[in-house]
Amino acid sequence: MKRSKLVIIILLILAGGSACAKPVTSVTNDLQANPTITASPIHFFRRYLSAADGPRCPMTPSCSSYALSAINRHGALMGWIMACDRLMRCGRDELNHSPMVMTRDGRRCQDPVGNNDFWWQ
Amino acid sequence: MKRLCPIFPIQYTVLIPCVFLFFIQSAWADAQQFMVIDADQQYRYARSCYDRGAFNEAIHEFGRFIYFFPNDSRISRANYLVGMAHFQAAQYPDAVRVFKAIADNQRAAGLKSEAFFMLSRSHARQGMIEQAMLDLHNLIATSTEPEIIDRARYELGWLHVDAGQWEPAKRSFGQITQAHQARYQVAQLNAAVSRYDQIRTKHPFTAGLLSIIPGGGQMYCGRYQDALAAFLINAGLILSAWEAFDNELYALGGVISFIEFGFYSGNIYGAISSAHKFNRNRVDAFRNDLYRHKQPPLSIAATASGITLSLSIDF
Repeated sequence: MKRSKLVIIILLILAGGSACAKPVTSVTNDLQANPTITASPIHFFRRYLSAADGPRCPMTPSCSSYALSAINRHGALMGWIMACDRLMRCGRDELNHSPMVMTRDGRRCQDPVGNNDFWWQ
Repeated sequence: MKRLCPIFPIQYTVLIPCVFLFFIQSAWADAQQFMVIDADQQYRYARSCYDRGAFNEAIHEFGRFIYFFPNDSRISRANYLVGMAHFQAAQYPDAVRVFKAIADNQRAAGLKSEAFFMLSRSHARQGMIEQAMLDLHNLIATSTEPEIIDRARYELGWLHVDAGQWEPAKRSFGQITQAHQARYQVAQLNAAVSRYDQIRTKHPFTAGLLSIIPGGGQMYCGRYQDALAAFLINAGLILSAWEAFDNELYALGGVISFIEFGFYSGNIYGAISSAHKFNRNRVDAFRNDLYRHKQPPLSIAATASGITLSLSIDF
């Protein structure tokens, strides 16, 4: 009984530690500094969910970084729309159309905001 | 009393002058080793820096040459190489400054046209294509040598190709005089540029319109996985919002509708963006095909001291 309690406590500590760990994906300072309410769910995701989940996005910048960049560059509305567009494209046909680059998390498909707003910028 | 300083007077009176003489001799020898660098040596060293790719060092050394030997006949050449070193080091604004000064300098007649070409390239490297074209137009207007004018027209044509202006590109290539048309492969170039209307493009407006049904625009652009994802996500969210409102869960329905607004708009945005990316890739492929005509693989040209044979291989 004591042993099982100890195992549960250790597992809880590990789970809590993983959840509180900082994201392992690269985070630039300008993105971290985004204070808008629109960006707060993305910060929440990066801090608590992505940190536990690991760098699984096959694109670079990752979808959350892309969303923050889009909001920074084009404001909340267009940023939100571009982020949704990216989430629908992530890991699908874009892998065949955009170049693959080597990042510290492995090979990723390069799809920055500039690749999707060049036609109206 | 004698034992306290028994040998000082004799030994030190010999030793101290010897040490003194040794230092004087060393200093004299060092003074004999100074060297005078003449203009040839300085220019050769600066040029060697440039040739081995030490461009920043070359800029300093050519600067030293210009400062210490202002009356040398190679001053214009040194200035030009300073500009080239800036260009090679990707310091394009500095290169523009130097080449502009040479182009405006009446005394640098021999390098004036080369400075204009490099000025144009420096502007082009900074993305200032219009300014680069203007530089070449200025050169064409001021030059009297057909050789230079044709070369400028050829480079102007390529700038139009870079800007995706196919008809002006054709015009520029077509204006090259008959004598130089074979050298610049004008017939093949114009035939290749004329095929620009065969570039298959997608209409962004049509893509956006088709995306009223989620995924329609992506399918039009040949992105079938994206189309399926857009359709399923939007259909699922619309259905969820409908169910939520139907069950009088207005708050939940509102939240889902807000999210769906983003995905539905994103679906239209993505379709338009896909059409633009499709067109961009097609134009890039066409342009890359044209670039194959830019540098003939094997060419031969007469120079002052003989002939130059040039072989170009992509690797």
